[in-house]
Amino acid sequence: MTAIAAPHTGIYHAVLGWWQGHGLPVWIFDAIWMALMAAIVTAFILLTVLILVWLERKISGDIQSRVGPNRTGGRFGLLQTVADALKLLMKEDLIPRGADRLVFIIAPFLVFVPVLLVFMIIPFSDRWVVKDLNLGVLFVVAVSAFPVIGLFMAGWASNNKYAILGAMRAAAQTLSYEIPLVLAMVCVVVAAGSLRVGEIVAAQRGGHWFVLRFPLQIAFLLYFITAMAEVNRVPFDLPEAESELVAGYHVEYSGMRFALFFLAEFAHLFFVSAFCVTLFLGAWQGPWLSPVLWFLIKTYAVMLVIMWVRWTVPRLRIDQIMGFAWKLLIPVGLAAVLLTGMMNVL
Amino acid sequence: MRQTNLLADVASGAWSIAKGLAVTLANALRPRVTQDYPARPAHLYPRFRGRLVHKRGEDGRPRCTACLACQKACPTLALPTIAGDEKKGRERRAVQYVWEASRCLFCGLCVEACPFEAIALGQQYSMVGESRQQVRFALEELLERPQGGAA
Amino acid sequence: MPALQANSMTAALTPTEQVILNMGPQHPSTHGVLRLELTLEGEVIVGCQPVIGYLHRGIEKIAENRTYPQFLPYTDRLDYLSSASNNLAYVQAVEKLMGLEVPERAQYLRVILLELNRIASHLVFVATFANDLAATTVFLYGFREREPIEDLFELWTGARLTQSWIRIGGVAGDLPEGFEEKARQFCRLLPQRLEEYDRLLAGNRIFRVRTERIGILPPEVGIDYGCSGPTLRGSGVPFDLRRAEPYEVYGRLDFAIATEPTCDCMGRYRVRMEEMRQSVRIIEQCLDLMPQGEVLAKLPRAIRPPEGEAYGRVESPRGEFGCYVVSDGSAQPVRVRLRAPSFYNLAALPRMVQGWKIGDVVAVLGSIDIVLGEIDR
Repeated sequence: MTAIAAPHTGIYHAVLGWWQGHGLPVWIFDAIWMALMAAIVTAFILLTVLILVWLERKISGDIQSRVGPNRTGGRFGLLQTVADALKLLMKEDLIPRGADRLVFIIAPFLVFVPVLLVFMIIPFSDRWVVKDLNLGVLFVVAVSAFPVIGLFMAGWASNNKYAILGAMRAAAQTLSYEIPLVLAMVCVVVAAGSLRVGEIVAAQRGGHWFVLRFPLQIAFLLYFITAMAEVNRVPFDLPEAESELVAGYHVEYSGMRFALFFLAEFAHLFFVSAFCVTLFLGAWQGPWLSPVLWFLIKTYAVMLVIMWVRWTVPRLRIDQIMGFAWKLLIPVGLAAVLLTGMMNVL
Repeated sequence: MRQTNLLADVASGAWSIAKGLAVTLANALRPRVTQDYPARPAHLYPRFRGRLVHKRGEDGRPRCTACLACQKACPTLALPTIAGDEKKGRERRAVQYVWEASRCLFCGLCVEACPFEAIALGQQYSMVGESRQQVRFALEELLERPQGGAA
Repeated sequence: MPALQANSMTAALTPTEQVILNMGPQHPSTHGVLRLELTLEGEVIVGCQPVIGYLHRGIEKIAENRTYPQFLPYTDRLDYLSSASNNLAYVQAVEKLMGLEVPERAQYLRVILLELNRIASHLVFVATFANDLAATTVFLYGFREREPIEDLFELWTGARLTQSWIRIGGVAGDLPEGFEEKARQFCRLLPQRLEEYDRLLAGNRIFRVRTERIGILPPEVGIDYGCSGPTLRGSGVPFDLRRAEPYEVYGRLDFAIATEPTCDCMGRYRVRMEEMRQSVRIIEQCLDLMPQGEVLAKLPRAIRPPEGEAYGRVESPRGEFGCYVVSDGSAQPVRVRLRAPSFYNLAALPRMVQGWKIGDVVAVLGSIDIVLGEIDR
């Protein structure tokens, strides 16, 4: 069992020493340590999600000439999301008659857990990464495929025509947009020469962010667009299109189960932005300020742009979404990979 | 899609989205239009058609003579019970006047029908009750204050 | 052309079932309590049956038990987004029966009220149409722009939505102090905002692929179904009652009829945007040209139109709104029949939606701009 990539090496080894001093086995310590790390990261993600929901409501308010939440928790409604979460927790847990109970219950977890899992390889700063896998990017691609199964399970188990329609659209959309997403990531991998996130970040040392390197701008744009599709955000939010399917695949979910979907979506948004920053915008690197701060600033900047787009643009129809992916994005992605390869050789 | 103008097509599509983004950004920088109700009271114009008000004459008594012109003008039977004292004509005074706010359309036909300008639709808009009884108002409740303010 | 034809060969090999999907009375995008029974093959619509009546309130029957002035506030509540048009159609019919002459100033005031209502109604159209297509921001912009109009209404009539201000013989009251300035200010503001909407919607590639060439209504079909208003003018038919049979002072005013030849959702959207601009022109002209004078004709004590029948028709924001009144000489009408434009526009919906996808139903329904209040009465 390899040790966790050593941020707080000091603390880790100090406590490990104490632990071993008492004759206790190392593997138990490692297990506890990893659980603790996981809990910290999870807590951080959930906190970010709470902030994100608040931010989305405030930003949408600004764009729409109105004030967002301004009552719960002071003038800026800071506790609004907490109130919403509490409300959802207190709701009746409805499982529709005729629904496949087991599948219905498992589905939200299958959507939520992979999103948490995939944060493993994101470097929050120069010393804080849970585990910098050798196959970091591949890991992301693989685990990102899981939520689709969860979505589909949710739609099918709900025993509801609207939900099924939403689930099928979600599955079709997510699978179709995986390909250009992977192609965009491949461009970065080719440019950095490694699947390891640590090395991708290192290749962007000294302000040479990948987004500034031709032809990675194409990859950046491609990643940005497909990321929005992966997270089911407008203009790609057909699976949950409120005005057409009354919330699509999670229409039958209420209370905490619905909250899980909701949190999963925002956590996924956070991940996708963080990964974008890692791949293209130099991750935590930047002058003067502390790395963590840079990471947060850049990630929030990307998320702000995604929100900005969401509140500006209308929604595409499902066949248009598919056409866009297959007929435009994939050829562009392939061309980008080719170009990146050529530029690398030159 | 024709290959020849594909690039132009994509570029124009992207540019159109960029223009839209500029509009939303411009709006985000403008002041908000939200009114902070109920922290601040709603702003109403003088002709606002709210709660029914009975006006007083110079002697301080309500002007209403129970002539029933308003009752006949009302489309929805919102003025079901109006009764006056035994006098006739202009000397008569109303002793009972019931206004069913739950039926009222606030159309103002009653106000226009009144030959004595005895009633008006005032500025109060909040008439909340938990039963029909609670939104049924009598003459005394509708009377404006002695100095001529709204009820 | 419908986007997808069910392939007969594959249908023979893979048995598929037609699914009946109910876009029920409670739905974020049916603009009221409308029920659509959609028959689907996959995502393609092969049948659409509108079911109405959820908002039926018996208004025509109520009319038989009210006096003529008493019925007026009921007409507001039909097409509640533009209540003045409903008022006017009814009042026109009664005035025809009675042979009443409306003072000139009152006519100008009526036109101002009508056109402000038209702008307000079209703003709701833009807002809800954009919202159905997920451009939520425009929804809020549309309602933000309505606030000055509703302020004008409140300043003048005391009510923001159902003004009941057009009366038999004229209007209920003249303009107050400060109205003209506020109105002109609004007329200056609106075109800029419409420009912004165009940049967010008509100029936006995504909006265009959702609305162009979708929901085609051929002009002959539209005429056959009795469609009117922007729904028909979006198919290239230049029929507008304000020009075809001018009423009030429309005959003296200079404005253009907006038509688009494309017959699709985008065409109907463009027609309404242009109509808003034209309404601004009309309002400014009225404010310029309006003479002094009475605002209400001299009326008899009790309104008892002589025996007869009359039909009043008005170009409401949705089309030809008509009111047919039958009188027997008494104080209450014998029969009031209301011709709601949305009813006929809605009837064309199944034709417009056939062969398209579920997502398009929402776009097409939004582009027809129906109000259930007048459909169900």
